[in-house]
Amino acid sequence: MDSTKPLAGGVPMVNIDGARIRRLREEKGLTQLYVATVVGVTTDTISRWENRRYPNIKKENALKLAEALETQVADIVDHGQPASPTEPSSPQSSEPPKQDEPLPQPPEPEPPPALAPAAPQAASFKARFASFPVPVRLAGFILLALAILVFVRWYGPSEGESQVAAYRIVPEHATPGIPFPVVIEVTTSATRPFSLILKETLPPACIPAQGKPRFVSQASDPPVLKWIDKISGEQAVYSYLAKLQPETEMETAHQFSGGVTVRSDDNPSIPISGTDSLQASPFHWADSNSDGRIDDEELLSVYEIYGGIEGLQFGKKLIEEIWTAKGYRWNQETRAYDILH
Amino acid sequence: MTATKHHSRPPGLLFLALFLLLAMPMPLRAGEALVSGQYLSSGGQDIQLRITVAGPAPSTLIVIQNLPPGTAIETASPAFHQYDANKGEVKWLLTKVSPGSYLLSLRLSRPVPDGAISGEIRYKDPASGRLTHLPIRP
Repeated sequence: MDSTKPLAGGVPMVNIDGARIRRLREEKGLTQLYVATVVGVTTDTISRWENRRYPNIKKENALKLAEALETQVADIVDHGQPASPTEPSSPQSSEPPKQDEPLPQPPEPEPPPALAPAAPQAASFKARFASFPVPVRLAGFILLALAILVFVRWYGPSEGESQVAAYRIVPEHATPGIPFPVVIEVTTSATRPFSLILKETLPPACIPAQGKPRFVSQASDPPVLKWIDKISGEQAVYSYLAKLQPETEMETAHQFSGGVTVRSDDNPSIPISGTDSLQASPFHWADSNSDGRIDDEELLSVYEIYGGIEGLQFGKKLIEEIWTAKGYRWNQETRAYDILH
Repeated sequence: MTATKHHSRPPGLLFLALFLLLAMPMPLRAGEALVSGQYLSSGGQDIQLRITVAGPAPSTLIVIQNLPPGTAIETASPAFHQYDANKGEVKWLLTKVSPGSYLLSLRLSRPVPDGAISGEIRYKDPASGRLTHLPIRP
């Protein structure tokens, strides 16, 4: 049975299994924050989806949800269960339900009468506990402390995962219209694999191009790139090419920003450190001292930083051509470098 | 009792000192063991240079071969990236370098006397990031 239900507005909808989503998320040790970040909704929405039996959500969100839960959409949609009568999800419905918005919560059930007189019961418990011999009370305390310790160790964020750092390498300058590389190194001391989301916000004047590994483009003004990955080693490298728009004014500064969200960590985002600014300049990005030539040290630096990234087309040919020549000069008319032999 | 204790301490301390000495990492002089160059032939018409790279290897090397100014080159293996005949300076760019040996050779149009040539290897030290100049003498 296909549980996709197009609405009057033409947006495909699916019924998902809230309980299964919660189970999958908990099995994989994912936080609601992580899942919410991947899907692009709030944690309240994730909570609502999990707490309702068969919520009806946009198919697009279901796809992202499956991606976040590292599973297939088929695993989270409800195949057999008819739509909940409280969820107006029928295609015949004249007014589409407002999805992803909170519904009125059912009233909390009345507490059982036995639990109502809480204070006298607590007093009675204290009196009973005080009546135990000291060694028994001591053993009780030790057991309680051990239980707390085990709980914290088991459910708390692991030490390794919280020690994540991200470092960005951007050239100090670049010529408008000429692609330049950006590298983000994520390092961790975690001993087991974990998932992360790396978000990079480019300056509005920047046009992103090739990414290694491939990124998901999330927005265009300003451009926001996103990587969802699983780290299993001490370091992971994310790189991309970008260029300043050809009409960008020279000698203007452009800011980068970004952060890493680790799936099992409540910390919303670890900011990316390192270089965060690039200046529009008539000098090639590899000519770090802007002297109109690429010398041996500059060439070696470029290869040490970017040469090891398989498939990143950072313009080796032009760099080597300038290196072997006497120098170069930016030609504003042709919007290319004139190589000086 | 006291004498026994007195005699048992020095071997313990000795073992501890020996352990610390062995466990301590031996610092390497920058550039010494990473990359080296040696001429297999440094005169005549054929110049042969062997570059040996140890791990952790720098990813890129620039090898410079200085010839007498005005020397003409018939063939080179591998092909060089730059040759300034006026200065007699040949440059190779070796990328994606891994530990091992690399043989660079030149066939010159005319023989050159022994001792008339010299070489240099330039690379970024992977540990310090510093530019290293390693001269090669025949």
